[in-house]
Amino acid sequence: MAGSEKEVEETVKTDEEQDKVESVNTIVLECGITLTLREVRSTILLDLINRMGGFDVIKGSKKGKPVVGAAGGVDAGKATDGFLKVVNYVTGWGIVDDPPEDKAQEYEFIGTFGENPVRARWVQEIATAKEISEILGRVMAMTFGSDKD
Amino acid sequence: MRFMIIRQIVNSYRTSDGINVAIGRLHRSLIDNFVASNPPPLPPVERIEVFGDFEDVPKYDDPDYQAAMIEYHSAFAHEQVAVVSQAIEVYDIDLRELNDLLNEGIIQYIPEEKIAFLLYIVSDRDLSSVIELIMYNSTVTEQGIEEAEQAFKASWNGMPVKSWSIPKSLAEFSYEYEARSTAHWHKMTWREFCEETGPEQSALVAHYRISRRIEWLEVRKR
Repeated sequence: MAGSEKEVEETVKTDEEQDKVESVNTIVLECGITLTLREVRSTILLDLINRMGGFDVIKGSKKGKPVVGAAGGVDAGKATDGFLKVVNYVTGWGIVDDPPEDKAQEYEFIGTFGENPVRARWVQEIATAKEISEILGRVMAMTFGSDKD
Repeated sequence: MRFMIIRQIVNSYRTSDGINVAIGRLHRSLIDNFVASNPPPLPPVERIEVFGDFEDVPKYDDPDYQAAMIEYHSAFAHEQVAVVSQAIEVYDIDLRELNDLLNEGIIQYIPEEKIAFLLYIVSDRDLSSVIELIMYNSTVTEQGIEEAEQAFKASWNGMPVKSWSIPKSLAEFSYEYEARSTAHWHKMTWREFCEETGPEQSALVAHYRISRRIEWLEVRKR
């Protein structure tokens, strides 16, 4: 039966919209390196958050009550391990950039350089905890954002 | 009287990464069974006083409900992909990048090729588009109904039939109920209806809806 092919439609952004997109999708670290962020697979991220114990492990409970531990109900080991995997996934797959060339050998030496440099944990070596937290928040917002189709 | 096909099914899709996906259709019973067996969790309710009366208000911010919804969405995504993967074909997919995810413990196993492709390789947007096309090809969709309605160009007393407002029925029912009513109205068995393509099913529903509306308008005119 004859059918038709649907191509992905491209939208043309104005200069103002393009500037806004670039600032939302980039972060400049204290060390001076600029990172370009991208959305990750929501299916993978949801699975990881689920395995970790839920969004509250990242956000913290709104009412100030503990989330992790006997009082909160989420196993501490599971939460820690799960959170690390979320961080590894987001910093490994939610960032477009490769390590700067002058740092490549250094990262290879300390074992953060995988087969594909984008998957390596080099970002975690150069970013502060606060910056990693911001990267986490922004990539999650891009992945689960309400403006997605 | 059998209906002519208003719109043909879509049989291919190209992802944003340039991968060509052959799109087929599912028998709608697979979709109906999937929807029926995966109802979302219900939020707890809180009884509050409203103007002297009491009302049960759902508590969507309940932490247990929110945790259950995350678990539901995760499981739903996997099961939905397992169903729709039966309606696609892809060739020469490179699954090697999934090895990195597996080694990091980010995914726990690499599923069958088509499922791995839909779950872990294509973007969310492309996955939504693929699912939308499979639904369009397989069952009644609002898009299919709209296309049929536009093709019918039905009007009453000089105005489009849809622009005439009619009282909203107090009855509530599922899409499957409406589809079965449509089949009955067209003197088709449910089995015959389900064998039709998605665009054809949608056209049958559009015909049913418009005809019922015209019937009501004619009765009101008298």
